[in-house]
Amino acid sequence: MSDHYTVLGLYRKVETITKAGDPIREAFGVKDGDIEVLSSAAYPDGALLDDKELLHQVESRQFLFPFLMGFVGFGAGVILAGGTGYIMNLIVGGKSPFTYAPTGVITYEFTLLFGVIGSVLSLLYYAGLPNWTDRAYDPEVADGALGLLVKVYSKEDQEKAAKIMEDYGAYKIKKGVNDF
Amino acid sequence: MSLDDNVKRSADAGVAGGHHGDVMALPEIESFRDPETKAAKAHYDDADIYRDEKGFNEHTLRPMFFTTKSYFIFTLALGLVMAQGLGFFVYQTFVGLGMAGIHEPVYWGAYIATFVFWVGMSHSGTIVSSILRLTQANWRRPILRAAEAMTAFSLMVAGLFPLIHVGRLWRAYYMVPLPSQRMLWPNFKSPLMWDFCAINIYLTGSMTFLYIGLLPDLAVARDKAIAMGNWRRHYLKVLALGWRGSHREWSVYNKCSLFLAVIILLIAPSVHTIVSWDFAMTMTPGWHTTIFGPYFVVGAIYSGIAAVITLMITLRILFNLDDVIRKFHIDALGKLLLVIAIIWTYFYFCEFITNWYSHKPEEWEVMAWQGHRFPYHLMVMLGGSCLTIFCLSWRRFRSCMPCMFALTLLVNCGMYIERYLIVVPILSRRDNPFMWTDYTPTITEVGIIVASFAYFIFLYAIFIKLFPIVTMADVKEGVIVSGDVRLGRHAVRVQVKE
Repeated sequence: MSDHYTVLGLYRKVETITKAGDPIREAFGVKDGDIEVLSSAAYPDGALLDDKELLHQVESRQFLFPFLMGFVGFGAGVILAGGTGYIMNLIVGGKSPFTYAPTGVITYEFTLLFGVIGSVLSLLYYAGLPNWTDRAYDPEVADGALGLLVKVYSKEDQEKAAKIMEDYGAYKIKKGVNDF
Repeated sequence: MSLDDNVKRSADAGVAGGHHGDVMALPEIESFRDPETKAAKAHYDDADIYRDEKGFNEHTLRPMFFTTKSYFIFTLALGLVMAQGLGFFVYQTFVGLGMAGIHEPVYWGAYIATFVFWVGMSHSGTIVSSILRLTQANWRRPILRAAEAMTAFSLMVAGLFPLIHVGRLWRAYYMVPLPSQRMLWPNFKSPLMWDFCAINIYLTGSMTFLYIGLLPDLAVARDKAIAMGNWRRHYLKVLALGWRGSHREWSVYNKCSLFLAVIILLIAPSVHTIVSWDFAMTMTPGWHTTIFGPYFVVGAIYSGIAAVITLMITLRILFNLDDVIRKFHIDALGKLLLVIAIIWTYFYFCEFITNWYSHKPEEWEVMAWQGHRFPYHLMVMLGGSCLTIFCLSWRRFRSCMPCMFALTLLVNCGMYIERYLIVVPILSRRDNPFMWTDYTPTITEVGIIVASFAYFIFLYAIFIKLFPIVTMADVKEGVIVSGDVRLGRHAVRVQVKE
């Protein structure tokens, strides 16, 4: 038995898809995470779908990844460059084995390297990538179509959602199971 | 509703920035794109041609999916040039570094000058891309990919030169901190080690930046390849990571791009500063100067932007992309190049005048020795500074593609010679007069250096056939968030900013 059903409606115009979102939400009480818009380019947040609150929650946590990884990189840099000085100590005229300039340079570079890694991890984690399974999608999205994707939990709701989408100007409807 | 009403209402509501009044009562973005304004906005040179997204996708993916016979001939020719370079390298590796012209006291010759040149070339791509992304400059969109790819490939070429220069290639792993029974461990106190770290980290960051930027376009190319049954679908499917352009994906992606842009902006200047410290941290007269860091960074951005322009014009012509990479973009890049040319000239004279006025004997000897290289300096001054500033000041020149192509090539010739003049003459007159001598690159060095240029072009040519060269998603976003409105008798482009 399946967990959920999906309906993907394709639209040509921004105005049409924005009008179709609200009736579907009202009809099934769809939560923010159960409705999506597919597009080939980025639209300003909230332009196509009223899920700013959900995205805000994601964004407010997303910055933690590069930030925390930057800290890890900072530590790695200090240990690598500074630690080398302590472990393989060259005694030169009573100078400290810890060398500030080289440690600073290496630490700076490592902080940024780990920041890069953290940024990529944040993308993968919050966008749910990679995901090579067959998910609800239509190649026409790449050619400019806008897709309204809804997750519902019964076959009847799936039919109803498809009908609403059609009524609100969807030129193509695709139905699926467990592929949100 | 008339266009004038639209203009008035959008002005009242602050289309370019504010959020006032009833949002749903405002006119749709499509209504701003009034055909009437098209004739009036010819001067924009950035017409609204992307209405048909399918056509746009096919047009911009054409260089990737369709290959002509001349492409194969061209890459074969590049392969031959690379093969001769490889031959010279193998010969040098077996016979020894004596095959190169480097000798006491000129231990750093054309290889190191070329290394600095390639690292410099890598600087424009990501820096320009990051700055333009962060400032939301709308004209950046079609040029980003080509510029970012240039960074990655320049660094890949640059990374070869220290290996070629040290001769004993099989000991290159000494630079990597790998625990071993022999207790070999890198010395982090050496600027050369900082350089090794910085360049590798920059390469990692640049490749990541390039890949993340590619992600949405890989999905478009994947769909196209699947529809065509093209062999590229196999790797495109994997590399696209299952991207489908959901609202959440875009939101997270944009945030990630922003993080990366900021981080890359912090990495890039540090890399060329560290390259400059390879020289400046030594006690060699002519090198030991505090100006080297910013001087190198500005020089790097300068040669990089010139290379981006050369590349853009080449892509325009070779792949018929003149309606995507427009004269307007070359003009904007030309203005940027003009600003950097002025800053670089300032640094060039700063370096000269401090030495000339202080007249320290050991510094002055190095400078006086440069006298017999006057033609080289003239080339640097002309290509790198005077001629560039003069020519780029004219709009007519900036919109002349052959002129811009020739000028940007001249800039990079000038910048290559400048790097050579930084490395070689200074070592020729270093410290002890009984060691003073001159240096001329041998045929081995010339062969390998020429092959490095072929290698760079080859990497680029391969990239164009495997990945989309135009930043399609960014261009589409530009169309979404902008439109033309009529203001009196003029067409004005407005852009939605969050």
